[in-house]
Amino acid sequence: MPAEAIPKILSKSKSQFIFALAIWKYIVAVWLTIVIIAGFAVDIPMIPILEETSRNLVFHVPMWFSMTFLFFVGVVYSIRYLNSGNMEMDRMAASLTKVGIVLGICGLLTGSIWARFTWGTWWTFAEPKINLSAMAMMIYVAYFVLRSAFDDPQKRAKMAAVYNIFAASTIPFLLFIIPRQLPSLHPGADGNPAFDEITAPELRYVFYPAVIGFIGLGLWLTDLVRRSDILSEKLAKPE
Amino acid sequence: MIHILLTIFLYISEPYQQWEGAESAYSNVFMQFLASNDLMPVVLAVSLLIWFTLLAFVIRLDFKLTRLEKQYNSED
Repeated sequence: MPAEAIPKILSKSKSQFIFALAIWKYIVAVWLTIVIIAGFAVDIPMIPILEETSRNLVFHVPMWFSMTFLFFVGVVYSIRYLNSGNMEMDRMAASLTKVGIVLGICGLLTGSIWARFTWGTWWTFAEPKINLSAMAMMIYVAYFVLRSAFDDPQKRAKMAAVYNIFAASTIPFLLFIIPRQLPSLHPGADGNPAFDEITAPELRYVFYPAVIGFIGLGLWLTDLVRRSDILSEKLAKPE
Repeated sequence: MIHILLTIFLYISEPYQQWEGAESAYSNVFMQFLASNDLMPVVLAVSLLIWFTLLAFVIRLDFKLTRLEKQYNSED
């Protein structure tokens, strides 16, 4: 298909596409809408300093959880690529990682805003979790820098898959293990009570569905990225 | 779920307390609501507006990709 034909197709509007989305995507849309409404409307206990900002828990933490989920599914696809040599596995791994990074950046931004209104600063180098999660993001950005360095698709896929295994192996240490051993303002860190000890049940009723909702949104976005990559690859090929 | 819906209902049905800096004589209910101390529903409304805009963009993108895929496959 010639590339100049694309705008013409994009401008068409056909009613038969209204119900073309897979049912699970509608469920994700409705689910997350309910989560957002509940996240702001549910009555929560006012904790000093945190006050209304504790509602951010249902957005900030699920973003990190869904990022971790996408990264680990991504590394499974990278291993599957190394076993099979199937390029579709590499594309899936790249798409999952791309969306994972977006969710991670959203997690950093919501965390930074939250820190400003509770700890009084947008960013602090004294807080290990913030800095280690930023480092994890940089490790994953390097995954895409590495991908862009190769012209040969097979070589790129192989190097990226190996790198992705390294990158994914750093996540448990950078986000969960090391921050828990150091003094930190985050819950669960050295000397602090854990998440399940201090979180109000009202927030937890919204928090767990929010994790599921954000994972669903991440998978939806991954699907879009993967499909657009396939299309641009097909369109880039000479007829 | 019932707990959440009940909380939402009680939250919305609470009478609004006037913010001290607000003009006292707003006849418009919407303006009374915006000038109240209870700003969480306003935050919710703005968040929902942003969420629905993003959702509309994602759904539209999905439709367009589906259309392009169908067009491409039929031409193959």
